[in-house]
Amino acid sequence: MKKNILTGILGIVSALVVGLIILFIQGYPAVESYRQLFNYSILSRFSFFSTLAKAAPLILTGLSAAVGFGSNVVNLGQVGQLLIGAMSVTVVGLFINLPAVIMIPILLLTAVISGALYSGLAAYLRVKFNMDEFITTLMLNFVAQYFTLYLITGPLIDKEMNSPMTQQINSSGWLPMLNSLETTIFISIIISLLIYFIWHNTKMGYEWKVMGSNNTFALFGGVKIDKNYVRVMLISGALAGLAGAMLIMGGLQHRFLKGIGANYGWDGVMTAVVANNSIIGTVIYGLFFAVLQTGSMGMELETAVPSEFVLILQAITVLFVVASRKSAYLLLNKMSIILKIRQLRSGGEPEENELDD
Amino acid sequence: MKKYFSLFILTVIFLLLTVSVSAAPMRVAYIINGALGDQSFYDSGQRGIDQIAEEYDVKTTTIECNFDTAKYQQSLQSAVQWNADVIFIISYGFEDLLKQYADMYPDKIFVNIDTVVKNNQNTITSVDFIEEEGAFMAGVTAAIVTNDLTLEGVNKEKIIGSVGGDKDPVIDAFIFGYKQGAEYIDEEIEVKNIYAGTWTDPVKGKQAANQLYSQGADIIFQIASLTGNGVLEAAAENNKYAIGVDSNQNAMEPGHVVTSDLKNVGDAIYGVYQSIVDGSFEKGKVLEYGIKEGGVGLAIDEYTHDILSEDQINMIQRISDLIAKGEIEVERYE
Repeated sequence: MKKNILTGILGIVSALVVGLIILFIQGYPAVESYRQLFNYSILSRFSFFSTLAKAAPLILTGLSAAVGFGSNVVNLGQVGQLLIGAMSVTVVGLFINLPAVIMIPILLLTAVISGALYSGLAAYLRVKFNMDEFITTLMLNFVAQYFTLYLITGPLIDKEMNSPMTQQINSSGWLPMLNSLETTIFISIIISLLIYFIWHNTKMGYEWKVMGSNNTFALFGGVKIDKNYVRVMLISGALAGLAGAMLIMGGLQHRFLKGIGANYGWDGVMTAVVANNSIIGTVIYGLFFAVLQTGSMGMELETAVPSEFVLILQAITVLFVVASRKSAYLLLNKMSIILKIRQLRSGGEPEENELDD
Repeated sequence: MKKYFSLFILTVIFLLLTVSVSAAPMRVAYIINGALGDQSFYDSGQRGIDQIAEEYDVKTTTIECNFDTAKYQQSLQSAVQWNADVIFIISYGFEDLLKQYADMYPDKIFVNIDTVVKNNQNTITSVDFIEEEGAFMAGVTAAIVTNDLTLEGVNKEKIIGSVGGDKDPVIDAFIFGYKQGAEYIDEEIEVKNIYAGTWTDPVKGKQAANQLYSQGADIIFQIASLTGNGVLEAAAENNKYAIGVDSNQNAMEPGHVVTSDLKNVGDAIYGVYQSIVDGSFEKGKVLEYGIKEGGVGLAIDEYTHDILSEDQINMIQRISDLIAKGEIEVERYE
């Protein structure tokens, strides 16, 4: 666990250093650019709040991917599940108007159920016809994209507006603002805690982890693979759907507009991969990527570094963290082997617990 | 003595105040929902910003959202934090945000380009182009081309086409004007339209154009920003004709782009900025730019002369003058 955190931090720091060197070589004021990057993302109240607002859906799609990958379930359908979740919330929010106390839970539930149903479709195909979810979830993304595009350019279009989008959902479904802080982040944190609890403190979570490290071992250990597979898939979809709800219920626009999914789906996958499917790691990296993405524009404004530079920084982070994780693991193994050989040569008996390591 | 001193202080403060009020804006931001490099709409606006930077002692910046919805709010937030005095904005997709930011920061000058956006405090100034007039002229040109059987590649069928980016009120206004222009020349002309569904994919634009050409269209009016570059390419490959949009695109495929329906976003931006500096600017107005104001109109240059005859070009220019004088009234969409 400590090893993981250490390699994670090393990865982030070395990525930032490499980014600094790249900026320097390109002739930008490197240190000043970094200062502005953080100035526009965490160092003032408003910018910090907008970073949190950005992190909220990102953490949820990240958790969706982490829960899936960690249990050996390759759900790559976050994009589609997010869109379906967001669209369901929009439709319910447009046509139902109840007091906020009831309305908000109903909308959140709608997102959870619709996201789960959409990933459930892929789960059904896998369980019934043994179709790889890797393919089906990916394909279902396109279905969701074009289906929602059809809805916002056709039946649900708001003719008053200048580009394809629906009308605003009823204001009782808007998540409240706390002093211009969006409350979506609290929902994300609560959900993260919940997932953390399930993952680490329940039998179900244990079975998922075992499935994640070795499916065959899990099978022989008496884990009901199919049943757990469906469960993981549903939860993964529900989380992505909930991320979609954040986009509609949070923010200032409260409409389903063209391209609303942005890159949250794939960024979520990236977050989970970098975090090695650890729940806490996903939350931390989600925040980190949100900082980068929010600050990028300020950096462009102040020091003319193109905001696309942040994409490079993200890619470097992924490479460094994933690569250093493997090499650090190898290095530690090598060191323990050398130690053991030395002990054997000097005639001493190797200690039992070291052999187990 | 004390009395004089306080009087003196008051005068100084007063002077300082007047100076700071009448001082020209120092920072100008240009926020666009799309991205530069389309050689069309967004680039046209950028020319105005560049001109401001050149001729006035101001800092300018361009924030490109690149159609990424996650960047919309961030772009406004960053511009405000950057202390922009004047914000020119193309706000497709985030009009709601613009309204709220304008209400929050009533001291800043928000100028919305290409559509009309009104906030509660009515501080947003809108620059609205009369697309119908420019498109009318594109329709006139298209009709002349499809009726001129001596032109290489023109078939007997009286079909002209258009490729739009998305179905939205501005694009529909273009198509509305285009049809009127074509019918003004010849009522039998049929106009076929395809919405590409994207502003950034030239490949889709090319597909759409190929489809229209194979349906018998001789000339296609592209109204799709970067997507439209594919339309111009398709015109060259099919040996047919096309009409560019927003910027002068005649030189992009010589011999195939007959003319371009200009939308002089840059000139409008520059004009608005001048009015801010000389003090004649008023917040909350809707400024309309048609043919008469030079906001829209055709780009006729040597590439046009290579394709059309002198008589045809004179005819086009005559009709344009009639619109400017108000003798031909182009019906507005909606």
